[in-house]
Amino acid sequence: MEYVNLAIDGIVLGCAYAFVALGFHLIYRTSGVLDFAQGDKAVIGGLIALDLVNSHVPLLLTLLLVIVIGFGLGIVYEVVVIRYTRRLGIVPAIIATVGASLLLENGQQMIWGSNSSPLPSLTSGGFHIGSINVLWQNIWTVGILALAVLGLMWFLNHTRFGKGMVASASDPVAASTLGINPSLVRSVAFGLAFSLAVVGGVLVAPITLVGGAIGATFTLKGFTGAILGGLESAVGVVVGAILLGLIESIGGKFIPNSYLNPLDYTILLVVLLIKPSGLMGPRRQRLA
Amino acid sequence: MELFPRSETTRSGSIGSGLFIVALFVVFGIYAHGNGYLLSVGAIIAVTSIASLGLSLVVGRAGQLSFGQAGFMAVGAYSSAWVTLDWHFTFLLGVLIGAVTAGVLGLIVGLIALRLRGNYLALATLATGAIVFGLLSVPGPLGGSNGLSNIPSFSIGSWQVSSFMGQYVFSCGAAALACFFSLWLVRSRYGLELTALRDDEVGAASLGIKIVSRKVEIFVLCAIFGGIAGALDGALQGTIAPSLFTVSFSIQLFLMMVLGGMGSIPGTIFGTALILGILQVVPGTGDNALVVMGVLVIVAMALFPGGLAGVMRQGRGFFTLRLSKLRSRSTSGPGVTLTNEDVQ
Repeated sequence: MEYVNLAIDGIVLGCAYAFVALGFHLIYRTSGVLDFAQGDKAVIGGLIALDLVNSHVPLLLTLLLVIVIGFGLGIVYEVVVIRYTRRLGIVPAIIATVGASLLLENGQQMIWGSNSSPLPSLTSGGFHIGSINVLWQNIWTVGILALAVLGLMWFLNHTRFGKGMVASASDPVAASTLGINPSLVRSVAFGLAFSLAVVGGVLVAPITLVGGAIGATFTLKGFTGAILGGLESAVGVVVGAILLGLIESIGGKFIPNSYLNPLDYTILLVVLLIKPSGLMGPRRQRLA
Repeated sequence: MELFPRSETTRSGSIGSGLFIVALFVVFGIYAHGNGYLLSVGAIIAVTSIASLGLSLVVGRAGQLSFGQAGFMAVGAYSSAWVTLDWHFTFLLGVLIGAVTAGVLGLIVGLIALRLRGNYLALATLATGAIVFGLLSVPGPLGGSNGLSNIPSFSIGSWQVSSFMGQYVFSCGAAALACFFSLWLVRSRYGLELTALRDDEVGAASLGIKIVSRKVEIFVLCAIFGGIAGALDGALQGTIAPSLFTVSFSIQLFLMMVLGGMGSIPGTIFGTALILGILQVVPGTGDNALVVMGVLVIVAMALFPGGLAGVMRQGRGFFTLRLSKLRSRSTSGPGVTLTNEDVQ
């Protein structure tokens, strides 16, 4: 029974990584850029939510507000960080996101201070099945993640605009001759990715606390999860992230906590070496 | 403006720019004479620039993104400190051991790099640095998060370097050696092969360049530079701890090279001085300095992706353009030139 409880913790932690990882997936599929600031966006989301809650906005409304604010921030982010650097190729854009992660991680500590503080759960308390404890917050996290994944898959694969986003990533010139506006598409993608990260930040905040220097950890964990499952597929990304959460929570039972991070990153390296397209990715693929 | 100095690939990095760097070291040494703080900052800049030079070779020259340089520095620093403290090796032998151990790690990363490119390689190397940092933070014989202390300063034979000036001169000497070696390397056939690999991997392979061995070799070399820098850093500071070699420091090393100008050897040293200077000059805790750095990087990538070296190159191009215009006016005058349109 102890393991079931550990597994539940792991799944919830993995869901938090999955929100960051989904952002990676979305940005990667629509612009080919890997965003180093993805984890810091989640931290910012938690902090904005904390401010809203402290000014007595109801939690559910906070969640909705934060999603909208996140979308706006994402568009600003795209214009400031990506739009002008992406013209010169992928590498300058990646380096600019590194700069953005420095800016966000340290800028938020300038505004909100470097102390972390807790955020209340969406619904406090939980229930028991035998000796298995389930928190309502866990149900919320899993449910919202499932909604986000299904929504994202439907959007990218079944709507005209979503298909246009994927098309403009694989061949911007051809896509623009078909009437797709690449910079609009990219803005929307970054907006959605920021929203996803922000939701992750709000949902995980009751567990990990908000603020402080945890953005870089989120980035690396989210990326590890995304690679584990396969960066090219939305389901793969989520499965990989949840798997990583399970490895962390169950692994924490057998090895000291200080070895967990090295273990995670070793898993990342091994997966990159053996199957860079991830567990659920296509079998043969050149990674550019 | 381009990220890499393409048009000048063969000529870039003349020995003259190395002499210029040495002259700057000397001028700074004379200026800072007697000022222990300035001299120690100068020594740290010199030592750190060895690590960023290694990065400049692997990223700027060979085009392989690497975000794990602090990991190599840590391995070099810890292994050299370990052998000098516990096995009483001499300082120079310790540096050699540090370079070799870091080189072995570089070999492993190089083998990983064969399978990955761009984004994936960037995060794989970042993860390598994070693994090294994580393992060093674990309590154990390496001191956990307290690290190792009482590391002896530089010494050659019986000559002990202990004064600020001595340490500064020694560090600058090491940095100048690294600088001249890099300049020689990028001008050699080997360096041109690396540039070809960066600009067009398939094309380079078709010309008979051994892609696989070049990639692995350049990662080993980069790691050796990092290992030497780490070993010197440990001797300079006397204590080392995992907090000196964080993922964030790897990123700072990367930004030194980017802001200096990717692949430009003197530019990398300027970039190192710029980043370390920002960390020293900007008031408040490190946060403010890092915010400044972040903004600087975003602006630089949008406007001056060639970094400091690119700006200087553009300035020089501007002047030479003016000069050649003046010259052509005075010698040949408005002559008749045939263009393609005329022929058709």
